[in-house]
Amino acid sequence: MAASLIIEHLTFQYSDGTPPALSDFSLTVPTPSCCAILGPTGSGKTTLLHLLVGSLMKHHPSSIAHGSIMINHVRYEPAPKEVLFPTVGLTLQDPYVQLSGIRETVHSEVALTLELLGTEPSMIDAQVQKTLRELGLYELSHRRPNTLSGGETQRVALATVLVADPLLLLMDEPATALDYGAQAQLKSTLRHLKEKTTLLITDTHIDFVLEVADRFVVLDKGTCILSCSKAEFLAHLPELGNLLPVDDWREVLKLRERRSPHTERVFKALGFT
Amino acid sequence: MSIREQLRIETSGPALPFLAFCIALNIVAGQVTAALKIPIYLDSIGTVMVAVLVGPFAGAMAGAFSNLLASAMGSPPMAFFAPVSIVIGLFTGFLAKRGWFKHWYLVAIGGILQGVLAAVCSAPISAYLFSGVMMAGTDFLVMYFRSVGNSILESVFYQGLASDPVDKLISYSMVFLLLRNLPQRLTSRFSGAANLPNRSPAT
Amino acid sequence: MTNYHLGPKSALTLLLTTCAFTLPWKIQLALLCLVVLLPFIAPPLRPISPKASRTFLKFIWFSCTLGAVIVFVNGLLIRGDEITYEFGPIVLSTEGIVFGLQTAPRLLLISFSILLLFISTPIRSIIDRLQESGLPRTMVMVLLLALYFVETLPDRIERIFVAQEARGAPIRASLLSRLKALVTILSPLLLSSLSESVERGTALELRGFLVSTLSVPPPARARTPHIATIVFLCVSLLLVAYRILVWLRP
Repeated sequence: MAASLIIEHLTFQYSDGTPPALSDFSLTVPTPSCCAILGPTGSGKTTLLHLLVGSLMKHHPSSIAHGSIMINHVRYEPAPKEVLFPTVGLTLQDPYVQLSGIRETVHSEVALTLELLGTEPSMIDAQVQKTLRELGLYELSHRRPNTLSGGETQRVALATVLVADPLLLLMDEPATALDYGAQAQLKSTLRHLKEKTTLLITDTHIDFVLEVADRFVVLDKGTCILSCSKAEFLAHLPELGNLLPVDDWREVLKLRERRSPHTERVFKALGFT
Repeated sequence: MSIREQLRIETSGPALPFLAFCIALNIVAGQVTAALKIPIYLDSIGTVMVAVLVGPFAGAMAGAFSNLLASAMGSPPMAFFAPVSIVIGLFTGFLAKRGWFKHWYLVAIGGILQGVLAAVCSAPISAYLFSGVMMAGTDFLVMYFRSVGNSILESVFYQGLASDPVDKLISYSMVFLLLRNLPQRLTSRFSGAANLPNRSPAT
Repeated sequence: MTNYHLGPKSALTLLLTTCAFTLPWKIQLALLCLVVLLPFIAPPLRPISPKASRTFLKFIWFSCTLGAVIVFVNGLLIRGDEITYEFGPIVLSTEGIVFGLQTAPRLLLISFSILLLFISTPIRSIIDRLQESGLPRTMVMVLLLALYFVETLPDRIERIFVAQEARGAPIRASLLSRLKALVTILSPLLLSSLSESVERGTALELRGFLVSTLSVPPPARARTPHIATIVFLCVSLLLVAYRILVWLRP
């Protein structure tokens, strides 16, 4: 079952005197759905994810925060102070760091999460196999984690979190280190995933999330400058050109196939006919 | 507070991977100095680093595990010197807590004191267990002291006094130089951040 | 999982170490010859990898040289009344040679006993066993991560080395400049490892590595000890008892 997420007027400063990393940020993500948090480097995306999962308030006790976060009908004011895993899962930007480095095979690396959570040992194997199958990683079960390609490492990192069935999954720039083929594979994985888990994905580029997300939030210097549906987001694209570079217009052009008044307008504005 | 409790606090969060890194550094530091053709081992540099940045008990743990792993990886007698590494970790950690890593002259004195302490601790082990033979270049020094009429324990102790303070002085200075230049945003996540020289918040 | 006979092998290491401190040097020397042959004749003590057998063979050569050096140098340096060998300035005293012969087998026996255990068992399965016997999870984690770093550090150092050399760091200059070069190599290494530590610490926490559950050790699994384990332990105890009796006798 996916979890709902409601953020209300969230403001966060790392310490007194520094500019706020997030200011008056509000967001409601219905369940189940996928929300993209977009913005340039330093816009507060990563801060937001770490606030939601609880690691930020835990490790920065001198930080200042206001507002509230409601995850799966539990209210935190202003934000959780303990890591909420396995309710909330977070994959880090660097998948190589997410893997512990202490396990010999992909299977036991994924199993480590359940061992750390204290899962009944007899249940672990079946659950790991199920997750690996779902992510198309079953063939890699016996590979050494440090021999995997970038895309494979990214998906194994995802598996280490997903194996615990988080209700809300946060992903910090999952597409940054991936080539085109690996991105396509991850996209199809995420499309299946959002049926059962609420997803929050950050990115600096719009190509990757455009096909996956159904809600778009654009952050700049800690402030939310846009929060809308996909159609509205496409309509606003020309104005966001400076903030969000587009790597691959093919992705955007594909959307032309599904003509809507909004996309028509966008493509006209961009000079595509 | 019990030692177990203290260890639990010291090794939480980023300290745990850092502890592991420093253990590995102790083991491979010899390769770096060999590549640079520097005639020192620096095999306690990681222990000193953990003791300063994390705490005395974590330092002791780093020291003990370094010796045990080194022993497993081809230098068998190292395991017997784990107590010396534990003392190095504890002593350095307590010095750092008293602010000895804030000024270079205290670091220098601390390094020499540590060297003497290490010599005192390792002398009985190498004298009684190994009759002063450690399979290293320093063995010749021990044999020299024996040839002029000292007992084994005395010879091993004099050898330690001749080489340990220099080695520890270099390790201490190196750690001081390295830690002083680290950005505060990284060091602030470690419980020993207050042991380092004060800097203005702007830097 | 492969059974590495960890129990009997650790007991054997203990037994050989006890022998090194309790038996006369002639018996130790004979034992040493046997120990060197063990990996070739006893299947559970066979090296686990080509690398392990190289380590073992290298150590045999190293110990032959070392043993000879210990006996020779002690003979040369320790003055005694009786002289075994005299050739020009080289005078070897009997006292020194005997001392060398008493010292070398002990050191080598201890070294080989520990080496036997480690060339025939992967370190990871030793750590696994330690965890089963109740070593706290934090410590197991530290040991395993340290192994990971030991495997990856030489590569990282190599990369920094090349980068610093390309920047013109004085890697081949005088001793003092080489010491400075050491700082320029360790500094980036430490910096990257610190930020990696912060990230890895967070990542572990995000996967459920909660500090509060750490103090609960996993349940220790009961095992019936192998007959060899019991024999080795009993012989060790007997040797210690014998040694104490010899001491106590006027």
